[in-house]
Amino acid sequence: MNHYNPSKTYKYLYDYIIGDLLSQICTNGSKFCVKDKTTPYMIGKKFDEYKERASKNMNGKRLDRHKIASCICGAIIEAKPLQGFNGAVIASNANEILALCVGVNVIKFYMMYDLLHNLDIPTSDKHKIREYLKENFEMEYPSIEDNICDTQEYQKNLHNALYWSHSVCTALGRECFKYDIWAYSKIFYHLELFNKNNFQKVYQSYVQMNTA
Amino acid sequence: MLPAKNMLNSLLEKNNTQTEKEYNDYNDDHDFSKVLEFCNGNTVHKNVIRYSDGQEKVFSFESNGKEENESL
Repeated sequence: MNHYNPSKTYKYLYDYIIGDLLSQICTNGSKFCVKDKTTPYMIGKKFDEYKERASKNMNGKRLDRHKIASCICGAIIEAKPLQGFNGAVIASNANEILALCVGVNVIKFYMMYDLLHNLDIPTSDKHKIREYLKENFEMEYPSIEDNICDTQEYQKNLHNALYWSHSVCTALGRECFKYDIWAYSKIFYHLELFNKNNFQKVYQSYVQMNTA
Repeated sequence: MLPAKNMLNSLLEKNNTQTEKEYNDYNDDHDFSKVLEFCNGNTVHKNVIRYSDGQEKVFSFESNGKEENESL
């Protein structure tokens, strides 16, 4: 890792999203821990590799939000930062659960930015809305009632899909379906669409609270 | 017959106009660093993380400054 210099994008991504979530998972008293101090760099190296690969197929200046979400999701699945502390048994798809959560939070911040940076209001008001949305808006998934034929929740299916897309191939020598940056970026795209109304509702609840 | 208007239209369009370059995406989203900076008020939280050796450390890249890695 000595020769790897994380990109500016990754440093922000780690500091504002990944580190925040890891600190919530890997706390004193929980059964989770992070492998070691090289882990943030391992994730970053994978992320920057994915990002470069994806960028080669882009005509735009930078990757869009869904591809960034997809790249970091794939990077976490490969780097597998989460472990059981002192040999504790953790869910075999724990890293995929974290990966998806990081990905949807990338989308969440973009949704907040879309809304806020265009609002013609004082900066101090923007900050209040920003803090409210950060605290109160959580990305959701289609509920079990919305499922077409699945017998388990959408996000559980997605965690498993992510798990089988890569995680077990090296560990078990089984077939690897390969993580697909493009396919998963479309999933993040649809998750953003799915959350648009909910996002607006949370924003409207702030507006109502402050106009009452 | 199955309704397939969209498919047929797409095939027609691509037949005439698509070049290899046009298969690429054209997205040009906001700068992610700016998005995160804006949404977090440029304040990096001190995230404490426990490692497999039991040590708990604050780690951040400090995004635009020097890396922080300290034991508690």
